[in-house]
Parts: sequence; structure tokens; C-alpha cells
Amino acid sequence: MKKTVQVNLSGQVFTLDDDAYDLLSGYLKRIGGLYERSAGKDEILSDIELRIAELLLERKGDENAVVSIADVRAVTEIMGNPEDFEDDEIGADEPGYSSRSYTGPKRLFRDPDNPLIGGVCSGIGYYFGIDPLWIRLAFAIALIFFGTGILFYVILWIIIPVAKTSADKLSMRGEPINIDSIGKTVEEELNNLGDRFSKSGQRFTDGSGRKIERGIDRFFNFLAEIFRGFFTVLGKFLGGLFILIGVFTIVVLLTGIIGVADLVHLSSHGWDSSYSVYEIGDLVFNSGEWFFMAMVGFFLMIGIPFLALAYGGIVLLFPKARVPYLGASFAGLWFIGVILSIITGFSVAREFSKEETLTEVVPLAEFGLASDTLLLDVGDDPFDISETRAYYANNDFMMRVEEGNIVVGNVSFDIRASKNDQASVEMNRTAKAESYEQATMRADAIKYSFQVDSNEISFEPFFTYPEAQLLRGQDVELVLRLPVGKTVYLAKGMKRIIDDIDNVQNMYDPRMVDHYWQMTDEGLNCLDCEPSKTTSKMKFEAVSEDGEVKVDVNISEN
Amino acid sequence: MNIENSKAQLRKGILEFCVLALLQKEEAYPSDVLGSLKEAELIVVEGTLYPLLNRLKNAGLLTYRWEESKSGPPRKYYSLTEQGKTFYKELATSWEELRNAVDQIILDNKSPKEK
Repeated sequence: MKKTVQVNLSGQVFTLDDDAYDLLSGYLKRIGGLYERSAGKDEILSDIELRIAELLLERKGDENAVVSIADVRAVTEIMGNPEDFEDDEIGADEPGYSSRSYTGPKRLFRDPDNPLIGGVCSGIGYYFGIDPLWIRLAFAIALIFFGTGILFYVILWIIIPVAKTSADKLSMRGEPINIDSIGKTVEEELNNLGDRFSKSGQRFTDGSGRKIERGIDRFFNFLAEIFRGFFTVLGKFLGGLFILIGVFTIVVLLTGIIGVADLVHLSSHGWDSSYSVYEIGDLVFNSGEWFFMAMVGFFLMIGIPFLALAYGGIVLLFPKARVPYLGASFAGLWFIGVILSIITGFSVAREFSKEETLTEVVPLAEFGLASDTLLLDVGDDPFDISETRAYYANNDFMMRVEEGNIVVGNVSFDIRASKNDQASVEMNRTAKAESYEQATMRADAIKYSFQVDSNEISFEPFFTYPEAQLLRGQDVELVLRLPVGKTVYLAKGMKRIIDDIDNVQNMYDPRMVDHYWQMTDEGLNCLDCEPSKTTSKMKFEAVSEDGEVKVDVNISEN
Repeated sequence: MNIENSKAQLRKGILEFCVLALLQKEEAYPSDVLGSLKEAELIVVEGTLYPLLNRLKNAGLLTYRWEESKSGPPRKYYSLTEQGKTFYKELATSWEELRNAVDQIILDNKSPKEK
């Protein structure tokens, strides 16, 4: 038993088998799709329908005979594949959409002419050149076994665009070489569809099935619209955010370039200072050219990504604002920036490659020290670091430029045993440069002093050198060489410079101040620290300093 | 190179001219035109003709009238407009020139054996 359909072709009524009807209507739809953009689409279609009516009449002889799928196939063979119509004017109303456009690469589209639900499988079938039936089967299996098929289908429905124009359909179908095979695939698939519909036709007799189908279609379209809307809003939001971040950063960088804003910030505990890139650049680079190169490199490398971010945001908000090749230009400029930065980076690194230390030993005997106990303190601090924070502040680089000199607020001080019976101060001045000769000259340019007054020694917590020497890792390290038996008193201010002094109690540096220490064969020994420390085997103590609670664990042998 | 493709390209160029040639004698309906074209092997699939007719009509070279048919649906009889006739004459002239030129080239370049 076969269902039949009555159709009207140019005023002539024909009775078609259901499958014959599907094949014919699919064929006419394909022609319609091809001439979608042509002004004469309707007329061409009606002319072709007219001819088909003639051919069918010729074939059947009687308009009351039922047209079978074989008849339709014979007629469409005479008329030919729409893709084989030797006409240049397909979609000619739209320049650039000539028939040549289907020589381009295949693209993935949803097929609106041949959908079961959304035309996803059909489109994928075209794309891979296989029968959509297999794709549908794969989805069906995924649905049965994992239930993921439906989710995946919905996602694909959303992301794959529908083939709206004839150009879309042509690129969906692929290259002209395959036209024949694809045409056949389409027909075979139509037959499959027709067969399936005729099999389930009994259930769908009055078209209620189609209604259900349409309902499902609408539901999915609705979901797709919601998702699309959500992503559109998200896209706009991100676009706005990108523009804000990009523009803000660019503005900051620009103010840095024109020197309005101080981009380089040095800070320490209780002290901070900002410099413009020009101030720091003059102290780092030994020539204006290098500095300029570094500036350009740096701002391209940092600025271009943010400029691109802002541009990306604009494109997200206004897709039409896309400028061709701008993205590539950004990439090119950024690359130049990276290259310049690398070149200047190497050039500066070379300036730091050689290090030289000058050591001077100043015997304290020359100053005629009056007693066996030395009182150690620091001089005035140009950085005004409060005593409580002094120890930690010394870990951060502190610098200021004064009257052509660079003042560095980092000096480190250590106490070690003397190799003879003389107390002395060992002063190590270090600097870096391109060559050892230059490094030596730079080290020698460092000025550091300490004052000795009877048995009191006052160390300055800073050193200076001429600005022209540039920032080249200059450093001053002091070592007090103390003979065994001599005692020192560390004033509280010494926190500012003391650095990792070995002692018998293994006491933490900042707590060593305000105590008397005697040099013994084992190292510095505290004379007035709480005696319990040396007697108890293990001691926990909580010390509050700066409002912070610290727990010290002391383990000793005695 | 696909020979079928090349043949199709050759046909494509002269198809327009041939359709005009067929219609300048007397008006005809598509089946007549198709018959002549198929006989001359100028057309492979019938579908090709309809877009072409439509295009020529839209360009004002052709016009048509409906005629009832005893044996089937009504027929569209196409004929050349005045513009179409002028157009055809010009094409015919240039076809003549083209044919001579092509003949000349083929003749001049025949291998000695064929001569």
C-alpha cells in the first residue's frame, strides 16, 4: 500500500506516489535554492514546472495515471541536475556570488532543504561527503547510550549557521568536481526520506506528525535564540570590559611616556619614592639612543596587547568596526617591540656582566680606642626609617638622587673574628660594568664613611656615588674584625645595617641590638642576654615587636 | 583538464546566440527550442534553457504570449522584440567574423599531414 499525493503543476493536476512527490519537491527546492538570488526565480521555477508537467504527460499519456518515483527520476534526468545548468547567471544579481563561488572550499552549514530536525546532520553529511543517514545514526546511538547526543546536537544547531543563500548552499555542497556525486547523494537521500515517510505515513496521515515536527523545530529554535541572546549579551559585556581595561592601560602608559606620571615606584618599610621613566632611564642606560630604543620596545611590547584588547572589545561591541589587517599589524608591532626589548635587554645585561669588589681594611688601633668595649651605632639616616622597621627596610632597594649624586640606603654590616689581635673595619665596595677595569673604577667612585670617636664608632646607613656612574649594582658591605676577648655594644640603631651576624646564641639579628657581645673562640657571645637562654635545653618565647607576635625556639647544648 | 567541462564552456558561450537564432525565424515554445537544440547537441540537460530564457526576457530581448494547448498545460510562445532583433543581428555579424577567424587559425595551424 502506498500513500499518494495530489499536486498541481501549472494548472495540471497529477497524482504522485508519496516517494515520487518527495523526490520532485526536493528537486524543485534545489532549483529554487540555486536561483534564490535571481530576480526571475519564480518565473524560472514555474517554467520548469510547466516543462515537467509536459514531460510527465508525455510519459503517462493520461493525466489520471499515478506518477511513480521512476517517472520523476526519468523526468528530472531530462531536466538535469540544477548544478549542471550551463548558465552563468546563477545568483547574478549579487556580484561575487556567481557560480564560480562554489569552487571555494566546503563550508559547514545546516541544510534547510533537507532537515529532520534542524538540518545539522544533513549539513555534516555534505561536509564529509557521506550520507547524512550515518550521521543521524551516530547521533541516535549517542542519544541512546550516553544521552549526550541531544546536547551536542543543540550546541551544533546553535553554532552552525543555516545555509540561507545559494552561495551558502553551493559552498555547503562543496566543489564542482563532486557535483555529480553530490547530486546523486541528494537524490538518494531524498529517496530515503521519502521511504521513511511513506513507512510512517499511516501515523502521520493528516499531517499531525508534521505539526509535532514543527513544534520540536520551534522549541529548538527557541533554545538556540536564548543561547544566542545570552552569548550576545556576554560578548557585549566583555567587549565593554576589554575597552575599559585597554584604554585605561594605554592612558597610563602614555602619561608615563610624556613624563606626567611616575611609573617607577620604589618602596620600603616606611619609605617610598616614585620616578618617571626618564629619571630611571637616565640612570640605567649609558646613552640616549639605547634608552630611546628601550622605551619604544617596552611600550610596544606592553602597550600593543592592551591596544589590541581595546580593539577586540570594540569589534565585540560593533562587529562592523573590524579593520582588515589591523590584527596582523598589532602582531607585527608587538613583535618589533619584543625584538627591541630583547636587544636593549642584552645590551644592558652586558653592562652588568663583570663585577669587581674593592676591599679596604682600616685598623681601629690608629684611632686610639680607649677601652676594650666598642660602642657601635649608626649615623643620621637620610631615608628616615623608623628604628622598629629598620631591619626589614634594609632588604629593599632605597635610592634617591641628590645634587648629582645617587644616595643608596642599603649598607650591610657583619662582625667576624679578627685573624690577629687587631680590631679593624673591612670595607668592601662592589660595582658592575662591561669590563673589570670599568667595574673597579665604578667601585672606587663609591663614597662611604664612618666616624670613630674615642671608643664609639658611628656607621653611616648609606653610601653615595656620582650620578654619572649609573645604577650598576653598587654595594657596600662592612665587616668589623674583632679580636677574641673584645666586647661590642650594638646600639638600637644598628638594626638599620646589621646583616646575619653569627653568634653563639644563634640570635635573630634585629634582637641582637641593645646587648653586649664578646668575641670568643666560638664566635660572638652575648654577655647580658637572659641567662636562662644558655641553661635551658629548650626554650620557647613569644616576643612582641611592632605589635607582631613572634615565637622563637631556642635549642642549646648547655 | 576535463573534456566535458571544456565542451560545456564552448557551448555556454554560443547557447544564447543559438536561442536567439532559433526564435528570430518564428515564435516558438520551449519544447520546440529544446528539440532543435538537442538535435544540434547544443544542450545536454533541459533545465539549462529556462534560466536562459528568463534572463533574455528580463533583458528585454524576448517577449512571450500564452497559448492554450489541447494536449496539456498552456504554452508560452517566445519571440524576439525589436531590441532582440538588433541584438541578434549584431551577434550574427560578430559570429561570422569569429567563425572566419577561428577557421583561419585552425587552417593555418594544421599539421602538414592533415594538409
